[in-house]
Amino acid sequence: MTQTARQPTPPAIPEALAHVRADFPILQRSVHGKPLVYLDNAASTQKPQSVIDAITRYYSHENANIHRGVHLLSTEATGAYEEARGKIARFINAADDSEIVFTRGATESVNLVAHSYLEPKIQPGDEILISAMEHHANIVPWQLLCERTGAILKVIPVTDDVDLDLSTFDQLLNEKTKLLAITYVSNAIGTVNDIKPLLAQAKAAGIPTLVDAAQAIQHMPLDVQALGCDFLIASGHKIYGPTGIGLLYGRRALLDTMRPYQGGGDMIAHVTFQGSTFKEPPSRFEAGTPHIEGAIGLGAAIDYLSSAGLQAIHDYESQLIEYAVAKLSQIDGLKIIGNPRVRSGAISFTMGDAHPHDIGTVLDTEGVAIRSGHHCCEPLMHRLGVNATARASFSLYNTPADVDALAAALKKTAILFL
Amino acid sequence: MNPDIQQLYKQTLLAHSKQPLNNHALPDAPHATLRNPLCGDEITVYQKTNDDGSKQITFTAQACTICLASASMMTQHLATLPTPEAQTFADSLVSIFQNAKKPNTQTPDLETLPGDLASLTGVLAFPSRIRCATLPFEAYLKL
Repeated sequence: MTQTARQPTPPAIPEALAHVRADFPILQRSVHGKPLVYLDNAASTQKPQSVIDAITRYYSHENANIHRGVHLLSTEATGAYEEARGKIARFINAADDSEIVFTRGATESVNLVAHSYLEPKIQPGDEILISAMEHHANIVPWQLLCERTGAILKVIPVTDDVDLDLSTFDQLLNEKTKLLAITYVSNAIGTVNDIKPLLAQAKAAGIPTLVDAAQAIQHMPLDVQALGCDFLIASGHKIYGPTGIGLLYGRRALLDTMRPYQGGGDMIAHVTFQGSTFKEPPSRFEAGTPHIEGAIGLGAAIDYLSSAGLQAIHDYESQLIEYAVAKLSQIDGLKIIGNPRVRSGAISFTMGDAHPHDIGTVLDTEGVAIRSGHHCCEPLMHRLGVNATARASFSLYNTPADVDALAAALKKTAILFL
Repeated sequence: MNPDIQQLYKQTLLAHSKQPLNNHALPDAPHATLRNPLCGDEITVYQKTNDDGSKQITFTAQACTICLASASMMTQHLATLPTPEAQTFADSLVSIFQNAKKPNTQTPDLETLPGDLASLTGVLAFPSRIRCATLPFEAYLKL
């Protein structure tokens, strides 16, 4: 690229996000003597002080088991836990709080649907339809289910640009299909899939649907009723909340038909040695003492996202990614992997023969944290003919200066390897 | 450039990774494949004893700079040793590197490693990359 190449214009940070960096204590630290530039948000986001404070407040003032004690602390803890459920329900416009099940994360949410919803219904030869850009979490649980039941996993292919290739969708979605499980946003490439028509087509054919929103829910307004999905899954730690907590949205009519996921305390209506009966959803799927502070922390994260405003976040992040694509495209030898029609959250790239792990190590010493590897998407990497990529992924606290730091560090990497 | 990075990517190491020695398959020879599930890197190591008693060790890999360089240097060095000594050497090298990852462990002196292998020293500053250096030796030990 010549010196005269036009420099892309950095986006202005909107008022709603102007002060967010001060809310994240970890962004003040340095790494290898350099200011931290955190661009591994698709793997896990940093936590705002309000989330950290909510967890501290729970342990300092409310700590007790929930749904059990008659004492004040248990009442308050139960209230805080259920309030978090309500926040999530409103955040994604679920019809009722009981449609939100707390899980350990997006992975467990998928496994819960596989075990409690699909397994009792599925027969040998039935099909489960996913896409070629799924995270392992939306592949392996279905593979295991297929092994147990004789069902068959079918895959919607992707184009070279890493958009869904829908040329065979009408054949792939057929009378044998018992579930369409598809990602909203690709964690590896950043592709935003236009899932609404696919969900509508499945619904018209009476086929239930699951949306993996782990990389969508923090980046764009999301309405499960407008989408028309039956299940939706997400993780807490990718949306500014704690690790070890996730959510499953399930349409109540379906949750009502489902068997328990795990057995134990708090999920039963009545127990005798002859047998047990179970609570209504969502309690039926939350055996044992749950991750109470995780749920409360996730509720605080939802509050944080809501106060910034998902539309403002979406609009700003879209401009920031556009800026990053333009900046990275100017680096000699750098190849952006995938060219999706709509992109959110992430940019994957390679640089000549420089291995993504070597890129990641050099960037780390410049203070820039990215992810290298297969991004838990080995089948997609195989489809694209790469072993691994480097991935920069963005969040509401990233700035054009972060993109500039990434570009500068990549230029140093190029000197070493290219 | 960060000094740790300069130590990691020494010229010797970069030269091995850019033009690795013995970087080809040996058809019909015994071989072992090992994969690092964290990153997807994969290496296959081949070993063949010729009729004159000489030994050939080669590899093929989809791997990073550190792993390619380590594999190249490994094939160069181990081919000079009788098999039992080569195995002992590989085993001790893997142990030294893996132990260096444990907290409160004294940094081993790798400058005494024979030949170009001493250029792997820089990896000790990057615990997440130590496996990249040991993967070829671990694959060899599976033979």
